[in-house]
Amino acid sequence: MKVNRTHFFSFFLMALVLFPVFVFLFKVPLLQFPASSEWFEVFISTLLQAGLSAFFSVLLGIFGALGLCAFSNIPNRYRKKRNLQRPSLPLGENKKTPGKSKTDWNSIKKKGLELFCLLPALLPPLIPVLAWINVFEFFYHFPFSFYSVLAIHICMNVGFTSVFFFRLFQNQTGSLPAWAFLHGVSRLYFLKKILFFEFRKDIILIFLLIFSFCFTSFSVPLLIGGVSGQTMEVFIAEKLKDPATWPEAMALFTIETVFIFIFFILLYGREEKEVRIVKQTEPLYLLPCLPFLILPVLPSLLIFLGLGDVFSSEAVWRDLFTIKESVAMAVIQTLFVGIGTGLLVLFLLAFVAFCLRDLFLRHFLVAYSGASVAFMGFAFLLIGSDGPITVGMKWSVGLALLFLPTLYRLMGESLLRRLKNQIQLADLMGASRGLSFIKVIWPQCAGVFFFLSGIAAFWACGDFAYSSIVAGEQTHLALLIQDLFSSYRFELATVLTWFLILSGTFCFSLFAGGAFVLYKKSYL
Amino acid sequence: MSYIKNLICNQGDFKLDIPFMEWPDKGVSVLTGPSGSGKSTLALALCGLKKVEKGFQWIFKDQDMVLLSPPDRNISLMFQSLELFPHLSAEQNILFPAQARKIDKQETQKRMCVLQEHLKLFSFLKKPVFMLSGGEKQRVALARALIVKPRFLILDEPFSSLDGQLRKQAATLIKNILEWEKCPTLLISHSEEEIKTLAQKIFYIHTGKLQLAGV
Repeated sequence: MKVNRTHFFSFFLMALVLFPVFVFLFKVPLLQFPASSEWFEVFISTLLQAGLSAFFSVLLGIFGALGLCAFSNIPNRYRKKRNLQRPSLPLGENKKTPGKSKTDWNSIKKKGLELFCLLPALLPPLIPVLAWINVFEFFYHFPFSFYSVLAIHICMNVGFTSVFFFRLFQNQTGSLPAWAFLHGVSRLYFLKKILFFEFRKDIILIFLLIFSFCFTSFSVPLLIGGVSGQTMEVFIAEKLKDPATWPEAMALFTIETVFIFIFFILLYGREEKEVRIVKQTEPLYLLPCLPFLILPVLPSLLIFLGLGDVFSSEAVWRDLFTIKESVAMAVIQTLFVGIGTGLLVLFLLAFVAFCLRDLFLRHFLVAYSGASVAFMGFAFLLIGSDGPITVGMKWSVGLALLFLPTLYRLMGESLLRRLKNQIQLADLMGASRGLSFIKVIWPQCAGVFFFLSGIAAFWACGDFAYSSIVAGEQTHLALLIQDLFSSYRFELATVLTWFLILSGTFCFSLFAGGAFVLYKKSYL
Repeated sequence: MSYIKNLICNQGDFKLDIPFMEWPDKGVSVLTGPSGSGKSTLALALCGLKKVEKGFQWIFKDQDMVLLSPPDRNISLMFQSLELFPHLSAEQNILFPAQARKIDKQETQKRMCVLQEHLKLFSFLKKPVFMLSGGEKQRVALARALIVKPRFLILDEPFSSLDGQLRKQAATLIKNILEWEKCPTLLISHSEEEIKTLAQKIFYIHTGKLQLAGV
């Protein structure tokens, strides 16, 4: 087999992503399964938690999507009326004036609402979890259990599933609602026999995605799982704390990875659907579904509610003043970690784009669920010194490797897939790989990659799970918040969450600004 | 005459199987057939962009094209979706193949001047392609395909995004420019009118098999 430079780069990148596995394979030559009664219970509990979280997220997401459809169709109706009254343009005159289009406020409103619904999925888990606990504590003492993990996972994902199905229904149902309206088909029948049937493959796809996310979730069960909410990830982390049980941890990690890998094989085996953008035409039929809008909107609203009412207490300000130096240091460290991680993710995404012709690497990044957080943390703990610079590097590199597969799946793969024909043409024209990358791939991907790096930077600012393992003596805002959270000082933790949001937003803005500049340079 | 032999290309459940197909070295040959019959797959296979089974032979002007890498075949392909690079201007798009093949700049400029005149590109050459109309994009894609003087040109449903009058105009323009360029062309099309206007030889393909060939 001919091995070219791209194969070498791809292999290097895959080895980098699988780095923790290699470290432990080197350190732990043998796998050893823990007592079955011990791990099997945790495995079943994790399975149940992930299955139920995915099921309810999808179910509520479908109803939430109907709410979003109903909401987004209200202004459309009035806009159509206005259009009818407009005088038609003379023949031959171009309707579109390129570059001078008016601001489409309706589209901005829709996009704003979508972003609002996506907030719980986009923010680092620490922020929504703390906010929701604050709201719950107002009525009752928050239970740290299996059910809390389930509820938080559903709240985190329902916005995402709603937006996913909303886009699907908007673009693919076309005139089906109008047809159903005309024939007097009941809405329940329409939902059961048409929507569920037509989109069953997409429903399964999103179920599997949410399932894998909840199955490998570490931060949420660590924060609020208590004893009954322990998951495989937390169990592995417990095993990794003692070198004597590393072979057991390795065996559990293998079980987890194989299990998730099988799920992704199922995911990947699905046929790709042809994009058929036929905008939904009947606004009245789905209008009664408007109340379902509360499902994706409520979790985001509660985040603001939970984080809002903390500044009135004087005691919080006094407490904050006493730890002002630690906070200042933590803010600086947070910015370093955030920006460092963002830059590394940008570099890695560019690397993947350069190796775009290597389908194996792309399939690998789509199918690989990402290393276990605990595994990545302990792997980095085992190598290198504990000096501040080394720790800083390990911190950012580890987070970048953890976020890469997720971010790539989020937008990277679809973007690179869209460039397939252009790259084929460039190859046919005789363009070298370097020229193709510089002239064709990078200018079209850079904006999105900067945006994804911004998200990575924000996530890195809010990560406490991986950070708590590698940080050693150093601390940053998320770790400080987690410390306060563990000692039940929710109010002060909430105030610090605002510092975290500001730091994260600053890091995100740096990269998003870069994305905007590149977009302007490329397209305007 | 050019011919292909033993072209077998498997794509999931679909199989393109053409034991023999022959077309003239000059003028426009048209490949037609229903959607999903394998027309575009055939085009990609000729370019060397689709994996085909061993035993495939393509003799073009006494040269075995299969032995050459896709860029060395010097084939220009115009996709149905045109696939212009959206971030580049019309001029940058047209010049890209010449830049990729490291063709002398002066020679490219001369060629560019000729194409500008024939395809009437002056008014929008500096504009980014996303600001161009359908017909303008069509002309840019054709200029990009012709800038390197290709040995063989494949046009994969190039008029499908145009309608009515524009479609007729585009077909006539392509006919004129191809006569002038003398570049052997394989046109993939559904339209009877295009076939009548342009075809010197017609092939009909159905479910991956060549059903008819006529002059």
